[in-house]
Amino acid sequence: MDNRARILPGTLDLLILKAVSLGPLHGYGVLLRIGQISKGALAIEQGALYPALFRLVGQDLLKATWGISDNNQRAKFYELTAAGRKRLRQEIEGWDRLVAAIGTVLSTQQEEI
Amino acid sequence: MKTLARIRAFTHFLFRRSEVEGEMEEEFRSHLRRRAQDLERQGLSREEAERQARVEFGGYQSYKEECREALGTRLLGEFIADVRFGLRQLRRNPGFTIVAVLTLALGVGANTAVFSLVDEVWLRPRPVPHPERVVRIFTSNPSSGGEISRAGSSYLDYYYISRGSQSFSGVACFQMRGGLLDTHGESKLVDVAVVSDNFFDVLAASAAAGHILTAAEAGAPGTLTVMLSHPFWDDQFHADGGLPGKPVILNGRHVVVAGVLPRGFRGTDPTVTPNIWIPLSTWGVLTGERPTPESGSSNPFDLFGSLRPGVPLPQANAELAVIAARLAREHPQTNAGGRMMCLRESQVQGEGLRGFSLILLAISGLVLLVACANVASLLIARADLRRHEFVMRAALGAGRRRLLRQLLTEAGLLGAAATAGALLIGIWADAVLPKVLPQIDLGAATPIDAHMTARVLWFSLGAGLLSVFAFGGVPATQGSAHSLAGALNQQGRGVTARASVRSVLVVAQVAISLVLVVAGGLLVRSLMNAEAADPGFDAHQNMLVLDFAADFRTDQAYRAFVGEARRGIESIPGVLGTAVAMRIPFGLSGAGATLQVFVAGATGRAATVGIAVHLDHVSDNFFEMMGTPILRGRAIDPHDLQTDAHVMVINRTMAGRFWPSEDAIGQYVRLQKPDGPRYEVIGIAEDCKNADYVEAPMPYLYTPMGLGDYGELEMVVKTATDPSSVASQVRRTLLSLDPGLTMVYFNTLREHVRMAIANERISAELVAALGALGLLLAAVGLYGLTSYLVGSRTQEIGIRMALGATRSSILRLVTFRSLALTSLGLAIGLAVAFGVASLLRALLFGVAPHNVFVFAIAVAVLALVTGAASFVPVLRATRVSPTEALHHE
Repeated sequence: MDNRARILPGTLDLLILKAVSLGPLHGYGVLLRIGQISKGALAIEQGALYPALFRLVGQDLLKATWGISDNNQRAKFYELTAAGRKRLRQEIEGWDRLVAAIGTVLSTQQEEI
Repeated sequence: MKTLARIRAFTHFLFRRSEVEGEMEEEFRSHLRRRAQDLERQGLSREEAERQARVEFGGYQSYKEECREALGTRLLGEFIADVRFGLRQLRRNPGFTIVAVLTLALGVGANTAVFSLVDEVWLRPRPVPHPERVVRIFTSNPSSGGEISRAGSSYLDYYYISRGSQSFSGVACFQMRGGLLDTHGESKLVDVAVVSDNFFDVLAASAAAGHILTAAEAGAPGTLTVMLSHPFWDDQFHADGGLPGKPVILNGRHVVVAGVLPRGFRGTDPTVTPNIWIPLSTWGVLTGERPTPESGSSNPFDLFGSLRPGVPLPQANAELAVIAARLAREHPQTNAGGRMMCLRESQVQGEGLRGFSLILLAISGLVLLVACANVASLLIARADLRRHEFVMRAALGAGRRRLLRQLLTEAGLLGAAATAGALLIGIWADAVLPKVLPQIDLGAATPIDAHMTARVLWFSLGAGLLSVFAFGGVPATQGSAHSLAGALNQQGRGVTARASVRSVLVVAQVAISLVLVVAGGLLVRSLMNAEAADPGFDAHQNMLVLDFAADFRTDQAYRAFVGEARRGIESIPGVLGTAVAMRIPFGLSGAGATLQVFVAGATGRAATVGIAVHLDHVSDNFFEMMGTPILRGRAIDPHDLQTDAHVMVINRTMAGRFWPSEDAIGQYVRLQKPDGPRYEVIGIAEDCKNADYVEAPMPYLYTPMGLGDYGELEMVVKTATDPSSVASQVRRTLLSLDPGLTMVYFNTLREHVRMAIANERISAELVAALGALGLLLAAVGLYGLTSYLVGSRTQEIGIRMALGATRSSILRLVTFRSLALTSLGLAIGLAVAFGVASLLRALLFGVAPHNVFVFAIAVAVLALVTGAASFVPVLRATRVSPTEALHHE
C-alpha cells in the first residue's frame, strides 16, 4: 500500500462539491482537481467518482451539461447549483466543527481533565 | 412555440432511457481516453497507458450499474414523491378533486357508453373464421323496378345463386319471422331467424354451448333442430349448459336445441338479435311453409355468401351478373331486367345506424371537450392559488421541469380516477342502454347486446389519456412558468394572462354547449312533431290492442270464435265496440305483407309483374273503431264478411296514384296474378301511418277478413274510460271461449303508439341528455371563471366603492367581461351549430335543420344558464365592503 490517505466514507461528496465550486469540470477534471488540491494525498478509485456525481445531480446539487472541452472534445461538465452551493457551505461548516471538536479532543492534555 | 418546447422537454425526459445509456458510455470512455493520454505523456507506451487507465478506473460495468441505480432511484423516487405529493394536494382540496374527477368521468363515461354501442353495431366483425370473406348479396326485386335493393331477394334468386356460382364456398339465406315459445305454460312471441340449412356451415365458427348445426343434420328427416342466440340463452335459460340436446316447445312442437351461437352472432339488423335460429327444413315442418324456386317473388330473404379463398370481389360480381342474366332469360315474368351484386359485410354492417352512431360519437366527443376545458380552467385557477408554493419551491432549487412534472402527475392522477369512474359509468350504461333502446314490449325480444370489449377499454383509456394531456398540459405549462419576478409582482400581468386562457376556454365551452343544445333541441322538436303527427287514426283514444293465436281447424270454427268473442267482449260494461284485423298499424310486421296488384289498362311491368301494394284484412267496424275517416264510398260491412265479398277499401294515396284522373270507386283490381281474383273498390280511406311515423305515404288496400289460415289475429277494443279497467274481463272472456288460446300481445293503444316512436324518442333523449350535460359543465366553467375574476379584483372593487362608486357601476364593471365572453361564445357556437345541424337532417322529422325557433330557444337557454352562472359571483362583488376589501391581501 502507498501512504496516501483513504477517503472517509461520506466525504467524497464534499470533495466533489468543493472541486466543482472552483469552476465547471468534467468527470476526469474533478479527479485531477481533487488530486491537485490534496497534492496527491487522497486516493480514490476513479470509477467511483461517477455514481457520486450522478447522485449529486439527482439531489439537484450539481447540474450537468454537455459542452466542448479545452482539447476540443465533447464532454459532460458539472457545476454547482444554488442548492449545491448552500450545501457545500453547510458541509464545510459541519466539517470544520467536527475537525475542531476532534482536534480539541485529541490535543487534550492530562492536566486539563 | 414555448409551450411546445416544454412538452417536448417533458417527453424527452420520460423517454430518453437509451439516450442516457449512450451518454454514460461516452462519459466513461472519454475519462479513460484522457487518463490514458496523461499516462502516455508520463512515458508509458500506448497499450500500457490504456491498460493502466482501465485498472485505475476499477469495475467499469459495476460503476455503470451504480450510476444507473443512482439515476433510477432518483426518477422512481421523484415519481413516488410526485404521486404522494399529488395525492396529498388532491386530498387537501376535496371539493376541487370531486368536481374535477366527476366532470371528467362524465365526459369520458359518455364516450365509453357511446363507443361500446358503435363497437357493437358497426365495428365488431362477425364471429366467423374468416370475417373478411363474408359478403352480402343484393338483388333487384319486382317492386324496386330493376334497381338493386336492400329489401331482400326471392327464394328463386337464392336458388340460382347457390346452384350457379363458383365464387362462393357457400351461399346462405336469412329471414326474420316470429314464433311462439312455450315456457312454464306461458306462450312468448320470439324473434325467429329462418335460415337455409347450410347457414351455419357458411357463417358460424364455433358454438358457445352444444354444437353448430350442419346442413346435413338440419336437413335430416325426422329431426327438428334449432340454434339459440347467446343473449336469449342467458335471459331465458340462465345460460344453462345442459340445455343443448334437450327439447323446447316451439309453435306447439318439440324441437331440439342443437347449440348456442357465439355472443355477437347477429342477423342483418344490428338492433335485433333473433332469439331462435331455425333451419328451413325445421321451419317447413313447424309451419308448412316450404319456399321453392316456384314460390315466386314473395318471401324476401337476405343473402350471405362466403367468398372462396383468393376470389376477388369483382370476379364474384361478374359471375353474379351472368347469373342474373340467365335468371332473367329463364324467368322473365318475375326477373326481367333483374340485377345482382355483392358487397363485403364490413361495408354493409350497421349501415343504417352509421350516421346516427357518428353523430352520437361527435356529440359525446364535444361533451368531453367541454369537460376538459372545465378541468383545465379549474387547474389554472388552482395553480394560481398555489403560486406561492411554486415560487417557494423554485427558490429552493426545484427545476421548472420538476414543477411541470408535478403538475402533470396531479393531472394524471385526476385522469386515472376519472377513467376508472368512466369505466364504471360505461358498464352501467351497457346495462341500462338495452332497456331504453327501442324494443318490442314482449320481454322476449333481445335488443342490442352492448358490452365491454378490449376495444372499448382501449378507447376509454385513450380518451382518458388524451383528456389528461388536453386539460393538464395548458395549466401545467402556465403553472410551472411562475418566476421569482412574477412572485414579486403579485397582482401583475399574471392574473390577466391566466384569465385570458380561461376566457378562451369559456368561449369554447359556451360555443360547444350551444351546438349541443341546438342538436338536442332539433331532435326534441322532431320527437314532438312525431308525437303530434296525425297517424291517420285516433291514437289517443281509450282502446285495448290485443294479438292472440289459436288453432282454428275449420273456417266455421274460426268464424264462430271471432263472432262469439266480439259479442262477448262487447257485452262487457264500458266496452264501446270491437274490430278484428290481420294487422294494426305499428305492429311487429312493419307495414305488413304486400301483394301484386293488377289494374285494367296497365302496361309494361305493371301488366306482367303487377305492382306490389301493402294490404290488410279487416272486419266490419274497423275504420270506425280506429277513427280513420272514410273519404268517399263506404267501409267494409258485416254483409261483406258474411258473403266473402270481393270488395276493397283503398287509401287516398292508392286512389291518387292508380286513378289520378278518374273516380276510384267502382274500379276493379286483380290480385296476385294478371288473371287473379277481381276486387271492386268500394271506398277510399284516409292514409294511415303503418310501420312508423316518419314513413312516406304508401298505397294501401283493405279487404274483408275472409277465409283461410288465420293462426293469429289482432283485435281492438274501444272503451268508454281507462282501457286497462276492462283488461282482465276481456282476457277472461277470450280464454273462456278457448282455453288453449295464446295471448301474444296485450296493450293499450296509447302505449302501443308510444313504442312506435321509440327511435325518435331515444335519439332525442340521448342527444338532449348529452346536451344538458354539456350545458351544465359550461355553466360550472363560467361560474368558476367569474368567481375567479371577481375574487382577484376584490381589492380594486373595494377601493372603487370607498371612492364612491355605486353598486350598479360595479355591476357593470364585473358583468361586462362575462357578458362579452358569453356573447362571443354564442356567436361562434351559432356559426358552428348552423353547419352541424345540416348533418342531422336525416334524423329530423317535420323540422328544418335551421329551424329559427329551435335556434332562438337554444340561444335563450344558454344565455339564461350562463347568466345565472355568473350572476352569483357578480352579486358577491357588489356586496364587497370597502374595509374588508382593503384588508384582503
